[in-house]
Amino acid sequence: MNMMKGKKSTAAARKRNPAAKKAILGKFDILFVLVVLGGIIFAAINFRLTFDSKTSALSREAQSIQREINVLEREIIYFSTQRESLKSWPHIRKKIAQFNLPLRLPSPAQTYRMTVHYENNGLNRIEMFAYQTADNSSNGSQFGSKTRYVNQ
Amino acid sequence: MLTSNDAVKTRIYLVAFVLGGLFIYVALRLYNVQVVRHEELYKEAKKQYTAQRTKTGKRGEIRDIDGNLLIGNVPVTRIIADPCNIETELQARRLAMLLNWDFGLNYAECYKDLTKKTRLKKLSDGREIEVERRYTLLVREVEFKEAEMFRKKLEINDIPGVYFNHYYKRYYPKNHLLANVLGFIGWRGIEPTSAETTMPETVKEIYEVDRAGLRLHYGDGRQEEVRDGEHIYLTVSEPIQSILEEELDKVMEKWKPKTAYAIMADPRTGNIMAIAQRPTFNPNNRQKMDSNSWRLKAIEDSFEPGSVMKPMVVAGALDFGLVTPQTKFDCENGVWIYKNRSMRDTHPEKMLSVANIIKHSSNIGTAKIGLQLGEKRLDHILRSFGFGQNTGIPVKPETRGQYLPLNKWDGLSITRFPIGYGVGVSPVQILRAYCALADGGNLRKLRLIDHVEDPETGKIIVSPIEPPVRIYRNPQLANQIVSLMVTVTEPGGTATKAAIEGYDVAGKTGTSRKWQAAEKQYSYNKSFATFAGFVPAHDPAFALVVVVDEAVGSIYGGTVAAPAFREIASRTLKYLDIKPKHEPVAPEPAVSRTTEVKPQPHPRKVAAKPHVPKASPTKPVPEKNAKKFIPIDDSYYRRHYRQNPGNR
Repeated sequence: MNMMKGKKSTAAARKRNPAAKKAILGKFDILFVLVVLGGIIFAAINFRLTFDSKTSALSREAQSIQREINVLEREIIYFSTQRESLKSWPHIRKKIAQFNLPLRLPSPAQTYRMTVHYENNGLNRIEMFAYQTADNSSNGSQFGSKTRYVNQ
Repeated sequence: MLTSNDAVKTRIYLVAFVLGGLFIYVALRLYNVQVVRHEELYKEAKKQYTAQRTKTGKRGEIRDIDGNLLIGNVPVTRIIADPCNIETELQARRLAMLLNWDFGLNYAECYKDLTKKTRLKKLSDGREIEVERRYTLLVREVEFKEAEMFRKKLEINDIPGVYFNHYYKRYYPKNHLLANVLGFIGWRGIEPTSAETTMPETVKEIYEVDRAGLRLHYGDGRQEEVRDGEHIYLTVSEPIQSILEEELDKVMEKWKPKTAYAIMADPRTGNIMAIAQRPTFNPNNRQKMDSNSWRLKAIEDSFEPGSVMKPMVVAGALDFGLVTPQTKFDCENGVWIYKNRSMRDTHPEKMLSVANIIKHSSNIGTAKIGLQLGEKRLDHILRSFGFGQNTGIPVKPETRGQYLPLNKWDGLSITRFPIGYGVGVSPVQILRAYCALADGGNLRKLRLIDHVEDPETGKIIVSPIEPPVRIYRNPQLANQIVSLMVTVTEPGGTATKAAIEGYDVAGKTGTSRKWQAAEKQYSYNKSFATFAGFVPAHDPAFALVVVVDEAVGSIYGGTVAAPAFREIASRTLKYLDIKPKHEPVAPEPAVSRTTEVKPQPHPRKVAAKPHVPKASPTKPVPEKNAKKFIPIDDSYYRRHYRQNPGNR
């Protein structure tokens, strides 16, 4: 009985006492701070988790892209070696025979050499040299040079 | 009797005691874990969240002087499976079927292998326990395309537990081309000799992984980049190499010899331009290699060269001033007895000048020149041309030949060495000596590696061209000996079949009968037929040696090796665009792709028809033939190419 009375009197006293009122408000302040802190911690953890999961996802994606790059790299090397095989003379010779292609090396008389000279007037001078005879050429190797000017 | 306050107190003490006990336990446990067992547990944990792997770069490539690939790396895959990860029987059946379809493996064996999930492991105490079987090799060295196709099939069929282990395998894209020189690891050739340069770096990479085994972006993992091996560029030119090999194939077909080899070098640099041997092998398929084709005989073997030695002896005699091209020697009508041993000439003559001794390849004449030189001078001459020494080619093993020191010469050496008997030389030594003859007496080391390139930095290290050793005391002599050698391929010489129209060919035939050890005499029908020379004679683009061992049908260098020399040389001259010295050439009509190819007349014959006015330096040149730069427009090209579409 006494205890009940005591309790009632305490509650009544709080209602009346402004200091007690302030203390209760202070308790709410702490609660508020705790809630805010909790919220911040929750947000931080949540952010961290999201960040980690996104990083992991990105990491996985990067690894799959890396795998694709590796495959492409290997493919490039594979095709470049294939190209080398195809452009080897024994292979070309086989194909020439297969398709009966009338190909042959030109004699040196049939070859032209083209040189491009840069000139100050803004033109490139293209010269073509064709070998003809030793008799009609003093140096015996060039004859009938053709020159053509083209814009740079 | 306890009051309620006492009861509360007791409960509080009890809870405090339990909590205190727990706290102490946790603290002790923490101390144990964090301090006492720290090292042990840290290692164990690290083992779980870190992974390590060994990374190896690619081996350096070997290319020709123009960058054409000769040895490269091709990606291949090793396919392995974890039988414990293959969950159902159906998956195992499907996988076995795919292996059967794609790689021709036996279905039943594959299925049995894939469904065997345990194996017996022998412990150190001798007991055997059953453990999980996590590895089985399915296929090795699967080509890139096949592996990728197989991987896609696995994805479609949803088969787990199959892993692909990618790596690179050495690959020779040109197959037989230059095979003996390139060689392979564990054998001979450039590949093992330069392994230190081409070998990549291997690094161990440690990184942290997540629960799924994927690499973490953070953590203290070390990531090291591997370094690929350096690329080697040879002095060899692939197109010229192809010409040599093709012509050697023709020699093999026509003369059915035991072996044939041809080597070409640039006399001004010592660069080996091509080196071919028959029989050879395909380095991509070594199971079919036969023992006769493995070795690089042009470098490893020596033979008695025969008459190809004569130009060096004559050059030495001219240089010492003991003879001139006009000095005559008595050639004894083809038979000469010296120290109770006979010597014969194929073309018997009484008196021959030094020039004709070379032209007709007189053994007696050359032996007498040797006698005139004396042993000391002869030894000096032969050594100065590089006999008995390494040539500088970076391929091992290389023979130095059999060249006796002067104190071991017998009385006959002085007459036998000048004609190429009694000495053993390798074809590359002959080539080196001919390069010296072609380059005015400058003896150079032969080069096979031109430069080495770092694939990452692009840095190039050029293998140096060492200054030559000057052989001749009198440099003007060079032209004399070359002119004498040109007569060999001219009408009346021993190698008219080596002549190339439009060019001066300097060379010398060699026919050396093989020594039969069992019969203790030289064979009548087995010989080395050789031709060595250079073209154009006075401005050489290359020196070439052709050696045919035991040709069937003829034994002579002039019949067997000289035509091969001509074919190789004329095709190489065309490829190198070396203009003929003295003959006019008119453009040939263009050949349509659909027309049949007819044998083309030689430029000399073709050019004889159209008359081209001569340009005299004293008379004014007619306008239409004037040599001057004419600015031309597009119409010229259109007109020109329409008329001669093939003439570009």
